[in-house]
Amino acid sequence: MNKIKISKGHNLSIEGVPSPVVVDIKDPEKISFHPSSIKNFKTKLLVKKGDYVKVGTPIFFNKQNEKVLFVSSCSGTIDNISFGYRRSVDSIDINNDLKYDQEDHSDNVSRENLLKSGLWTYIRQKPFSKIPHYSSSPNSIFISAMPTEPFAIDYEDLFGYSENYLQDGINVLKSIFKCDIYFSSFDNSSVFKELKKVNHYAFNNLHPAGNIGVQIHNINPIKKADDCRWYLSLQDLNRLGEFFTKGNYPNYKFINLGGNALKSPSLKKTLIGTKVKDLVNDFDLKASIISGDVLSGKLTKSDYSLNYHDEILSVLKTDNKREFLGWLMPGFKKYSLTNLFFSKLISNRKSNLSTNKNGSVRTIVPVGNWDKVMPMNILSEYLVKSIISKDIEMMEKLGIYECSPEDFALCAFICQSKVEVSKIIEDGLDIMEDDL
Amino acid sequence: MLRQLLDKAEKIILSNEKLKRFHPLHDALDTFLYTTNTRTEHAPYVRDSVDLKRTMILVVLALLPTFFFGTYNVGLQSPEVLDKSFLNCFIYGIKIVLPMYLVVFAAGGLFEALFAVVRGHEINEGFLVTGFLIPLTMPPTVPLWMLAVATIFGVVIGKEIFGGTGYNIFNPALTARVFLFFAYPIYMSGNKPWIAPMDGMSKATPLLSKSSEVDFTYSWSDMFFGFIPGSIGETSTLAVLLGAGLLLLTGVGSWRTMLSTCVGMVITSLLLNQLSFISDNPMLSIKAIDHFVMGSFAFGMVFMATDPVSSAQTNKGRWMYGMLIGFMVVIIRCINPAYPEGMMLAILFANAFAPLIDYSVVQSHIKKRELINAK
Repeated sequence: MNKIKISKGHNLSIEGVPSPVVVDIKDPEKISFHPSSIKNFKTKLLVKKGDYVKVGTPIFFNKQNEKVLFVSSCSGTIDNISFGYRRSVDSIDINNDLKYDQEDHSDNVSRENLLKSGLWTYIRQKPFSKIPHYSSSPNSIFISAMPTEPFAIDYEDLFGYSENYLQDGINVLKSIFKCDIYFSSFDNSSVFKELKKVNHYAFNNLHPAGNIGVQIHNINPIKKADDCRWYLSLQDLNRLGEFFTKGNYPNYKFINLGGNALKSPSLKKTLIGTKVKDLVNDFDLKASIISGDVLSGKLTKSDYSLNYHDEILSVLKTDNKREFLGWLMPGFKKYSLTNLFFSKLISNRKSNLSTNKNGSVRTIVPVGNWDKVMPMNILSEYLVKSIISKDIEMMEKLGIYECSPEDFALCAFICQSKVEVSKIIEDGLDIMEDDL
Repeated sequence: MLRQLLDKAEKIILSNEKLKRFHPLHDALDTFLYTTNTRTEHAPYVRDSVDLKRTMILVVLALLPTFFFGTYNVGLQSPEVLDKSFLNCFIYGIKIVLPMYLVVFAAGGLFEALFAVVRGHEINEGFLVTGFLIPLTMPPTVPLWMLAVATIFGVVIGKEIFGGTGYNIFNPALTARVFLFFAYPIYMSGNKPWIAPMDGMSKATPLLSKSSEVDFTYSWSDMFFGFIPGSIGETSTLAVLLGAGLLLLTGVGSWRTMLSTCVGMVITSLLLNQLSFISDNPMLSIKAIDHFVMGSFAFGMVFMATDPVSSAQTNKGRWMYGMLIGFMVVIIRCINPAYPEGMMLAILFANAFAPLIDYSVVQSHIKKRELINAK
């Protein structure tokens, strides 16, 4: 086991951490998919309103990646298809007849069957965090059993002590792609060390050590745009193993519901495509609903299901209070990674962070805060400036292909000028992708 | 009630086309009085409580010991104050220093606001620190109109023509000072301006008296505690070090810059000490420990060199930048016959080189990346 220690970063402490006990919920009457929530997705529909679909029936794909099929997770009829900006498919609603008839799938291990199964869609690649092309192959595959973002699923608890299909999933990936598989877990745990055919790596529990981008940077760094690493979440690996063992499409997903606006944060086993309002409804209407974690997710609505790859739903308080002469106050209750408030002297307690930006946007004043939370060997300030000035050559030289917006989330968090660092990195990657 | 009044005023300003452009002024007052409640629009959806206001106000807090001691020292040095009690001296000093602050903030603030309105951006907090620094870098006898001109020069030429806070090459407070230094040298150098009132009594600063080979009467402890003539804020090394402590504790000032400036100064002065036999220049034999407490070395190192915008911006670059300042200040002080003090010029010189230093650091970073990628 190779151990790697990350020394810069921070584990945000926010109230509303879900307990690791799985809660089953009633299956919803209707599920929905939102192709437009996937980046650069040009939807081609395979069904129309009123069609009957089974569990595992392909319902749409991306025109630029036509063999990667997205499948239904329930059986029933297509209830409605709604279109958004420039006829992009905003949502596909399916009535759940609760019968869960299964589409016939072959469980022979092959690339074709993986594509048909609908599970290829859960694999993503770095750089660009997108679903890989059906004909491509990775340099290596990364699997992390140690997500460190706020409200991340505790995978040790979920899979570590019960029967699972992780080894089967690894076997499938190994036999189809014949590449190295890197498996990372916390350095103080030995739960997953029995897994074979993988290279084990261990990181300390300090966010962003759990981010795939940071792990790739430390283990097998990306060198150029077409030097791809693939990754998938541990539960998707488990589902992959389950599919090729049992032959049925695993139509469920574990979702962690957390946040200080929730009355009962919990871990739920849900049907894929379950809408937010069917997952949870015990929160204030003014709260911000975020699909994904608070550092890298996206705002969503209660009538939508989670974004395709997300496994966290965060619900945060909104705070409209304006404090009189706040810049002068000692700040005993202020959450900060800097030493500028007296709260630093008080022992670490759960914070009451809200979606307040806590300041006005200013130009970049490089006091060195970003550097305190950036564990990668990247000159973040210079990379950000090269993106703002659209200097493609410089972006490449400074290592943009190794970067993902989520790896810079803490830089954006700590920035005293409130610079949208993550957004700028995302824009930079878009520029690079367009340029390819 | 104040909150409602501000909200009402904002509504009126935003609804009127002509008044709209003055919104930055309202915004400045509004966010000065109350924290903002803007919501995050992009991930991350939670943000640290720190903002630029808090960061800048901390520098001002760190300057307070210097401000109080400097004001007291103005009275202490003046022959007009006969009863040298702390209160008496301070009252005498504040009568001189307070008008200076009023002039600086009025003149500088006006131009900051003007540029914000014309460019349509919010008023930046950077001037808070610049404005607080400028009077502390001045001799107590500087005429107020000169101070106003210098401040405007510092704000406009030192900062705004580059695009405002965050884009400037030179430290604006030092730009203001260097303007007066070269435009009105009689008021900024020699042995007249350091004691208020001007023309009342002349007394050389330690550096000047050392360089002109007159009897050197200052003890190290006087120079460390600051009971010496000089610019208002520079005299007390102790007060400056108190501020440095706060800056280092909160991480607002770069420890790399401060330490490397010291290291550069110590190495260069040790070298010159070794060379003192070749010339009868008394400056060559000044020890590092004296350099540290003389003139504005400590003040410049803690408050001017560490300006995050005009200093080098990479960690390795900050080391080189600091060393350069330390080296230059001793060289200017000791070898240049025209200027007994060199801190201001050394920092401005290093400001000019900071982009080049950063460029070389970035290029070597890129080279290293390429080497790793080639493997």
